Amino acid sequence: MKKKGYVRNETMKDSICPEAPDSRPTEGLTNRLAGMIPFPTQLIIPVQAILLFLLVVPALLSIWLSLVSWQPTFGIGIFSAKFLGLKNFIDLLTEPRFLYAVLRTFYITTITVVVELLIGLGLALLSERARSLRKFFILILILPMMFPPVVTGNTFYMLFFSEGPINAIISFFLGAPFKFNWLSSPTYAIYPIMIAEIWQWYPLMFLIMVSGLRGLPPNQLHAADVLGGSPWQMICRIKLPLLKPIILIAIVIRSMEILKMFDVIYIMTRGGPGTATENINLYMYEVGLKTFRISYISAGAWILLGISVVIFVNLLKPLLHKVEKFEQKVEEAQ
Amino acid sequence: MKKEEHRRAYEMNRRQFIKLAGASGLATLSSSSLLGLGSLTPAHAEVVGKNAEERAIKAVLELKKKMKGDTLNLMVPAGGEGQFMMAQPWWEEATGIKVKYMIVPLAQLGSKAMNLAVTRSSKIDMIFINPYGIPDMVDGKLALDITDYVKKYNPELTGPNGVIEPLYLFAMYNGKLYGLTCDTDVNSLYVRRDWLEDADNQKAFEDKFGYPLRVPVLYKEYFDQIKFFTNPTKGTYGAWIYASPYYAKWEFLRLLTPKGVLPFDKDMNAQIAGPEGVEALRELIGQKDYLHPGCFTGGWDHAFKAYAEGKIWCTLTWPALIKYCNFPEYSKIVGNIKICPVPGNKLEDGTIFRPCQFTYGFSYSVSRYSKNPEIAYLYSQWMHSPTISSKIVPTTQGGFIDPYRYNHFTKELLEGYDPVHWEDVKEALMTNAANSYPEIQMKGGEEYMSELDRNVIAAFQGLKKPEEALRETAKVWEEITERFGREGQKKQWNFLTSCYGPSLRKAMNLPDPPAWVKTLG
Repeated sequence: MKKKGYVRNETMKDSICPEAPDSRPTEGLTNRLAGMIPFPTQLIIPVQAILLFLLVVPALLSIWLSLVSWQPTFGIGIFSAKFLGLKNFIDLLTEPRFLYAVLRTFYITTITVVVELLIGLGLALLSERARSLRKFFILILILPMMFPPVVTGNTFYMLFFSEGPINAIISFFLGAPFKFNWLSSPTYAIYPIMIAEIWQWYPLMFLIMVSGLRGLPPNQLHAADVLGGSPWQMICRIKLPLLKPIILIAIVIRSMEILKMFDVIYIMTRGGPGTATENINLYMYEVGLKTFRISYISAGAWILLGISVVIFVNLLKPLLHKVEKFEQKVEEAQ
Repeated sequence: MKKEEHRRAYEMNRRQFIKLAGASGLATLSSSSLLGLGSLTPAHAEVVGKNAEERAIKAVLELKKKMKGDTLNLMVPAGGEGQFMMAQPWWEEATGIKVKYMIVPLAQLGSKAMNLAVTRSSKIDMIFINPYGIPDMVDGKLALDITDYVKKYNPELTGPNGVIEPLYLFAMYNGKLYGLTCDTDVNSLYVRRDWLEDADNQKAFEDKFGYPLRVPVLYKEYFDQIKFFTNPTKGTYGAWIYASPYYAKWEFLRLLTPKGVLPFDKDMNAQIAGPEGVEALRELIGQKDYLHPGCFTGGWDHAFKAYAEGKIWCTLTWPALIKYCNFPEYSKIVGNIKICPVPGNKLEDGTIFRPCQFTYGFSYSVSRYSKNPEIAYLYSQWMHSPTISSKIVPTTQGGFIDPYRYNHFTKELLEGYDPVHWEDVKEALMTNAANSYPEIQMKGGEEYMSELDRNVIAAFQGLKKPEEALRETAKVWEEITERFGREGQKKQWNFLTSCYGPSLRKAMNLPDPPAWVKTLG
């Protein structure tokens, strides 16, 4: 009596596809595993493995370094270093210079991102009106982004020099010589740096906002227009709420970039006067690469990563929540 | 062969033996008497040659047979490659060994060197680095101890063509030699010759201050002069000093050392926060109103440009300023810059103490991971030799090497600095070099100096009082010393101070360097 259900391959072969090859799994663990993993996945595994190796191994080394006392000038291997536990972390969190560098970094990030957003969004909204010259407008506006940060830093260094053009313009309006030393003032040196950064990267915000505005549903805007909504009401009641996810993403992208800011500060002030403009990257450069306190700085990098993850996860929460809700609705509808 | 024939053929008879013994004895006597004639051939030298250049080439040609590869790789800072490239064809022709360069930004030299130390890379044979970076390179097991090579090949560190004492000592660390110092980066004083010789200025100055206007010998005179020459209506400034990040620490030490005080005492206790340190910092801050505004942000390149504009009375900086200011393409004051010995202070015993800072500078250092370390050393000796160095020092093709050997101080060479007043250049550089002292060149040197720099600038900017700034610096210095180990730091510091110039050692009761140092090359 023939069993129901599974039909032996020869029978299938005879009845359905006389020419079909024997498809029984062959011997060997590797081949069985290969059979379980889809072929497209098999193709990307080697690259993923390399990338993971490049990510995980340095990260593990960095964690180890943050827990020991090691410098290249000790002349010993990394794994022969003295184990300190959390001492590097504790020392950093109680070091005023490090804490001020972190606070300064977030101060620069907050102000720069907000101003860039306002400028980028404002210009994006304006560019909607200038339809005939829009392409030319956009091309001119994004030019600053094309410059290397080193060039931007050097340019603004010269602009804010005590005998530079900025002071010359101020002198002209004041009607008296104005030779303020911007870059050597502990209070104000940070502002030319922020201005340089804003000048260079507001175009990115502008481009993101332009893309966002173009993606807005035209029906709602048309309906509002027909119902007599003013431009200001359209912006505040329709465009901005719809742009919220785009704005959040733009803020996260720019914040991550500004947290890594180094070139402009290095060129303009080298973190000075004193440490008045030293952000976390300058601090890590000075301590890690000039005095070679690699272990200490590894701990600093992990602290910064922790703070950044907390902040960005919270920033993106509304967006992630919205995505989850949308997915739930789609599933319910199905 | 019969026994008698064999004896005649192979055994020495009495006559032959006496002849041989006599010849050997004569050779021994004559060679040992030659040692007394020239200080250029110390008793322990194993390689004989006419001079350092010849000895280097001879040795290279021998060693070349066992050389791995046919190229030497050098790490050179950007801007310094001109002098190497100038000499490259001569080297390649003499030895057949090629030379390649890894050019790195000057500010990255230390970090790049550390990368080599960590990776233990054999890609670089010789590193052109400042002596200040040598302790880190030694501790990182990168720099090779070349003491034995120096004793073997005699690079003429001393003698009539030798390196100005104590410059060659600055590449020593913990009693061993790790580099051949090849630069005179002594921060000399520069004043405007035309302003100095101007009769109106002389009268006005004497009327105001009660003594003649002259090249300042004491810092008191220097302070009076910078006040005198600051004139906002004319747009002239008394001085350019380096009040910007990374440089300010040197300015403080420049004012502290002439008071007879060192950063540490012999037990590695910080001395900067004492009354002399506070006074030095106050003097530094007191110059604020008489300085060119670019001082607070600019580096040496800005300093040179600003001085060459012709609005500044004086500055203290590297020797290259003379060349720059006498170059018509860049300078508005050609022929009007005068290089001088640095000012000093009167000590309690009445002597005028004029120590001069050696900042940065360069030396040839061999990587211990080089596949051909001895050849790399011989290349360094060749470049460093009196004959070759006297050709490359005056080049205008670009480079950092200033005159550092006695035979460099000739009219022909120094005319490249100042065609008319080359004797001023000779007197000033030789005096300043002989009275020079290095930076805090030891383990943790960069940490000590960075901490000082930050606090000096904070005081300069009014963010901290001088006493507070120096107290905080001293506190952090103590922490650094404890972290590295006080005993080890003491040993290094005491050796470092023994490498100071003779006048400094005498004025500050510092020990002499070990006796064997004098026999080096």
